[in-house]
Amino acid sequence: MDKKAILLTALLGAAGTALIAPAVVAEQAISPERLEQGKALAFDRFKGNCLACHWIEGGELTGNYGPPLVAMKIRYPDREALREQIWDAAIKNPHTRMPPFGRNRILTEEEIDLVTDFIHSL
Amino acid sequence: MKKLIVACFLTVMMASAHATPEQDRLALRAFFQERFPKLDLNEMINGLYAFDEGAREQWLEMEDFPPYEIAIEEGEEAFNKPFANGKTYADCFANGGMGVKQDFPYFDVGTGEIITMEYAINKCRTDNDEEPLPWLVGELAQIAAYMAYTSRGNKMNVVIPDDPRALAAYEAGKEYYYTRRGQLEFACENCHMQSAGMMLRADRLSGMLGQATHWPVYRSKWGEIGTIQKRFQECNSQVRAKPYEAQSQEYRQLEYFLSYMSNGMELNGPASRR
Amino acid sequence: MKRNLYLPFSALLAVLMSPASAMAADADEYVAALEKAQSQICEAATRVQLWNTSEALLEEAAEAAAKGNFDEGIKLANEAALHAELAVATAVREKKNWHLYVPK
Repeated sequence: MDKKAILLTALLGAAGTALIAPAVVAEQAISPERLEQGKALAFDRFKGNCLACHWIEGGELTGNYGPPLVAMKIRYPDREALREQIWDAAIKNPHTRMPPFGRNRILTEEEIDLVTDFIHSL
Repeated sequence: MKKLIVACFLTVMMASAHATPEQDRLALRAFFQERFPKLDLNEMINGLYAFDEGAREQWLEMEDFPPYEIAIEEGEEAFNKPFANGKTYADCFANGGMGVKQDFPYFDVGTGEIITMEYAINKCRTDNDEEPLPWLVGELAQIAAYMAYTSRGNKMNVVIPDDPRALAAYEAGKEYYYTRRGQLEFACENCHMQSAGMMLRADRLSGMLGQATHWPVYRSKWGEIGTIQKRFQECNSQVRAKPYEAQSQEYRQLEYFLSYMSNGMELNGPASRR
Repeated sequence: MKRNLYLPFSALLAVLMSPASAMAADADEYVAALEKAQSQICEAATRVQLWNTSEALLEEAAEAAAKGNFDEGIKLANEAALHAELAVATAVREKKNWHLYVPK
């Protein structure tokens, strides 16, 4: 991404988070260790393997099968909606291409919580 | 009101069940032409290289010294070597086995089975009291490479005869292609239609049209030449489904449907892929 | 699927010597869970294409049991059976939906 795009994302992000103050509080409660754990699961090819389909900052050889994971708090003001998307994307879109990480037990519930926290922080 | 909803539903179901293979094929071509308006659909026999100019250039350079060349030579030698009873592969096939790949798979009216080219090669062996060869790589794939090579330029011409068993086999293959499976719950369709041309990690996804024209394939990832059913097994494993046996009924039905969808397209096997 | 169900003697010894063994599941309970899972998986295999995870989980279960960890063995055997059930659930849903994605 170029600088303009990053700035725009940041501005939008700031505007978005200002509108949903409780999320800011919730974010502060998530420890850096927890985010690291979530990131490790997201990047692990045998766990979340998010990079196979999604661009994530810091990821290499990322796919474009799914949308880039940026400005997640604007797209998902409600963390639970993001968690549901990861747990089973077919609930919202039956023709989704995203594997149902929770419904098909690809990740454990605890792992999904960690991944959700990390993705929501992007 | 309730009655009406049920009636509508039934109409939809019947409409879909009554699409002929030829209607399916034309609808599929229209689907890809709409997704890629500028693409010459005949380019899709080159798989992912139809969508990726950079990768295509590298691939064309590799084609100067194709990695499948040795397989063709070894396949030719094996093809011409007589069995213990003095007969040869040529005796088992129309036109001595030369330039016949466009007719495979076909429906055998006598047995009701779908006969892929690899299936026919091994049947030729067992009919002549020879041991069957392993299905996926090695001598069988080499013989198939040679036979494919002699068929280059011919147009795929899979026939579905007017026999309910043949149509049922085609329909089963079609259902397989569009059905999600495995822990990751992907259908063939999700990757090779909905997402054709997109990147999965560092690999671009090929489209369904032309997917059957260029086998067997030398994949750099395999380091050898392998059959289309090896790829079926690999795809199944990648979505975490337990693969079927090679030349199982399920895979032969899938190959029948998939090959029919490439009808009218030029054969260009064997090929090389990343 | 042809797995050796007999447990090594060392595993049995490990259980007998373990002070916690009174609380934990024993070999019989593990074998019962394993057999139940195997029959469920075989039944599912006659109906649908299985996931490649079920048999892998059964192997992990056998490894855990061989070390005397029957609780883990039972947990993994149950998970293997659950994966077979989930494969069936997807197939049942797909039976209704697959034709929606065929170009008309």
